[in-house]
Amino acid sequence: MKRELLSKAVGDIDTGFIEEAYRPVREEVSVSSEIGIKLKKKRIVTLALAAALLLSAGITVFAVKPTVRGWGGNFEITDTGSGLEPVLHTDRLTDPVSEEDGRLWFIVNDEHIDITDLISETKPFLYSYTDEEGVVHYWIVGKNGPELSHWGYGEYLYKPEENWIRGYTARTDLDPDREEPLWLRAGKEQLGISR
Amino acid sequence: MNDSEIIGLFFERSEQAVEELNRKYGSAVKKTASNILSSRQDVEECVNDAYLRCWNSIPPRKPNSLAAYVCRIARNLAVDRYHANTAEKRSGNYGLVLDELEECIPSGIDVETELEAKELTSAIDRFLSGLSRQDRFLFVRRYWYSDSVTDLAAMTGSSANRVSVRLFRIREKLRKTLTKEGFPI
Repeated sequence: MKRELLSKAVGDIDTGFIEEAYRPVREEVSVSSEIGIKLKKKRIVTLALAAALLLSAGITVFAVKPTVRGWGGNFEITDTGSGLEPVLHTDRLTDPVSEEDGRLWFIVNDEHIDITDLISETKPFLYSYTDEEGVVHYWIVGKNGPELSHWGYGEYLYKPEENWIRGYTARTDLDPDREEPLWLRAGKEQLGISR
Repeated sequence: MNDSEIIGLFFERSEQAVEELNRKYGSAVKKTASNILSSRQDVEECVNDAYLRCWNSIPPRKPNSLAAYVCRIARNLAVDRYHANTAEKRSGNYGLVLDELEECIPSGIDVETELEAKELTSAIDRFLSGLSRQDRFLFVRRYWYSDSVTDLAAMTGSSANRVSVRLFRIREKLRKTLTKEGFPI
């Protein structure tokens, strides 16, 4: 066996697999495809009005890209005018959970909540807050296994007048027989998030 | 900045293209090379060479996935350097990755030519298509990105032991698949 050729054989696998595995975080585009259209229409009207006002004042409008941001700069959704463009910053992901002194702490939105005994493989911890733009951030945190480090999470963004926008999950289960772990499924059911 | 905008800068021959590429994918490119090479200097040279190759190949190329494109270039450069460097072969993470991969090749079968390597690639592509998303993620991260088991455990919120067991089962499955297919007859 020539190890160089073995390296090459694996190195040449389909680009789609490489792209898929580049993102350990999973964006959930199916949360709201209809909502995306709704949001787009509303934004286009708003932008048209703003552009008309600025043009009448002699100001040139080049491009306006309204952006919705997830917590910690992990997730951005930009309305490009032709649709929503989500970007997950997987290379600088800020986790919402911190392990300290053998306990798990939920640290989003300046919180410091001990969730060690509140989560399991079937039981999620749910939390929400509303940001300055009026976007509600819903969090689902759960366990993938018995050890302290086996936590995973999802963040889902919601606009009261427009419904669910998008969401993502990270550190989710390895079980090949399930698309998503039970804690996540339970959390999404409680929040009314459909796939 | 999104991928289309960065590729646009390459097409305009703006040096900002490389800066933006590095800003967005620099850490991933560096990690891909450092998973294979142990020398910091070798890693730095690989990263710089990968950017240069992007500069020289875009245009005419217009990759659909900029992340996969630049990481593939960095990986190829790092693997070439690994095989050229005798000292690297004696130790390191990538040696373990290759050892594990060799387990998947059924006994009595050798990959001795470029053509056989291509056939093996096609067989692995078919195998990956049939895996669950989670198993495919683990396989590609371990054997393409050469991530350590510890890193994979952190990425998936699991234990190193659980990841190792899962990888072992995937390798067994691949070995059986290759045996069944009679590769590379």
